[in-house]
Parts: sequence; C-alpha cells; structure tokens
Amino acid sequence: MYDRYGADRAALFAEYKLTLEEQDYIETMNVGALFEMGVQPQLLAPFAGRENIAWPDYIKGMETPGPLRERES
Amino acid sequence: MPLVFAAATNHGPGITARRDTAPPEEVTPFFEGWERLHQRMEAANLDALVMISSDHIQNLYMDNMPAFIIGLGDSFPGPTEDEHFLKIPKTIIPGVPDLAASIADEVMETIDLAYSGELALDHGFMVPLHFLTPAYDVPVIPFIVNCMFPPYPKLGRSYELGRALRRAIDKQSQRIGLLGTGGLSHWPAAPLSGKVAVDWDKDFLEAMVANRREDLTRYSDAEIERDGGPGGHEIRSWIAVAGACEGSGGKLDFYTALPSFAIGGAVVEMAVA
Ligand SMILES: [Fe+2]
Repeated sequence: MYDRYGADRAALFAEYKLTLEEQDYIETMNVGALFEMGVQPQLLAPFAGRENIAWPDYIKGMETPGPLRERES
Repeated sequence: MPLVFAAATNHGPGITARRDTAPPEEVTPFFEGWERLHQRMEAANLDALVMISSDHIQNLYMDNMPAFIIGLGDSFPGPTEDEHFLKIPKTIIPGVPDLAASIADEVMETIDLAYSGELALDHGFMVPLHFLTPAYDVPVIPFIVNCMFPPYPKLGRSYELGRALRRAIDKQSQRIGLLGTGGLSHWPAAPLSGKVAVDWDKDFLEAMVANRREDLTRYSDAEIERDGGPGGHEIRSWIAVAGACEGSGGKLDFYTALPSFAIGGAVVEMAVA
C-alpha cells in the first residue's frame, strides 16, 4: 500500500474514493485534520513516521485543530 | 504440567522507540522492574510462553476482525514496525505449533477462537520479548484480543478466555508461562498522548492484585475510553491473565506513570498455585 502511495498515488486515491480535501490533508500530512475526520491514530503515526515526521512534530500536528475542531470551538 | 508462571505488563512502542530521549529518573524504575521480571521468567525455565496482546493494525483490520485469534505458526516474523521507529531489529520468533494446536483445541471447548498460521508480531509482543526473553529462545504462542476497533469482546469474555487457557495449559506436559501485555491508561498516538490516568490505573491494579472478577470487568467501553483512553481497552489482556489465575491473587511489583512512553507502567505477577 505504502509503495503504491509513492508510485501510483492518483490511482490509489481514486480507488478509495477520497475527496480532494482528504487527498490534500494526506499529501500535506495534516495529521490533526485527518485525526478529527476519524483516521485511527495508530494508523496515522506509523504513516507519519514513514513520511519522516519526527515524533514531537507529529504530536504537535495532532494537537493543532483542523477544520472540524475549529468549527466546534 | 500446571501453568508455571503468569504476569501482565505493558508494551507501548515508546518503551524502545523513545528510550534514548526519556528522562532517566522517570524511566529507570520501569526498566529495573522489567529486569526483575526477566529474572523471574528465566528462573521459571519455560518451554513455551503464551502471550496475549492487542494487534495494532498490523495483522488485522476492519475487513475481518476476530475477537480472539491464536497464532499456530511454527515461527513468527517481528517486529512488523520499521526498525528505525521501534529500534528493535527484525527477527524470527520460534513458535511451537503442535502445542499451540493442542491448546487451541482445548480452549475451543468453551471459547470459539479464530486462528492463523501467518501471524506476524508487532510491538505488543516484541517490545516485552526484547527485554524479557532477549535471546528469543523461548517459543511463543501468540493470542490477539481485539482492543482496536469496536465492537470489542466483552471484558467478561476475556476473563473466560483466561479460564479456558488455564484449563488448556494445565493439560500439557511442558512448562508454560502466560504473559498479558498492554495498557494501562494511555492515549496512543493521539493528541492526549503522554497523559496517564494514575487513579484509574491504580483502581484497576487493585482489582487485578485481588483478582476480583466483578471489579475487573465492571467498565463499559465508553468508561474505558473516557477514563483510561483508547489504549485502556488493552486491559483485556490483563483480565485474561486474571481469568487464568481465578481463585488466586497477584503481587504488584511496581506502578509508575511514564508520560515519556505515554503509558501507565506496571508489572503484576499472579500466583499460579
Ligand atoms: Fe497497544
């Protein structure tokens, strides 16, 4: 899956019927937004690791509200 | 031979992944406790170790999620996680398929198990093994309890799994140990990562040491999630160990909050007599 993400991203996004917004959050590694959309954090953390995001930066990203949390507050 | 050793402890990936960056005064008591556990497990001279853990989206996903699954393989690759993250080199852990099949057969008198010949071991198994059987010379029989995606198996079913396991282990001729891993309170990889619910952990540990089934299994899933965090669901591994030791209590070796590893850390060894 991760290899396909590197090599064949557009087809992978289409297969999983991701919206443009979802695609954008993945490509910019907006983990805070992905988390509040319901991505399991234990799936998100290893993905972030493979994208070379250091642990403190990952946690900071998770604490940063995306659009859903912003709307709630 | 009856079960010769039973304990429960943690498995958070931070234990190895973030060991180098954690304050020594915070984490040294934890590693000292694990060294004591290592010594006691070695003294038990085990022929095989039955381990119970959750899976972390490494073997199992929502397309097919068993409540309980046993690994019947003759060996298990692990860890599934990248070495540069977990800091445990990839290896092969020996299995003991005939014994695993015999245990599964007896467990299935009362608990319907899923099984797999192809399980790989993630940090839930590999982090404790790395310290507790560092030569990986004790064959492992892995059980996975779904602590990841609801609907979860009920806590009482974990206790029953433990009772069934005890019956199955006691029928074997080998010296078998049991180790449940996971928890205690934690918010893995989430914004609250690092939070430890000390009172919640201590309440649970008190019930564990006394092996009070009604207290161990009293939590609703929503209460676990709220008070112990999503990682709190992993008390299911501990509850299974309590079930295997029904009628006996345990001894708390240590409890310590480990914000750097994002877990409440503890070892409880249960009496097996
Ligand atoms: Fe876990």
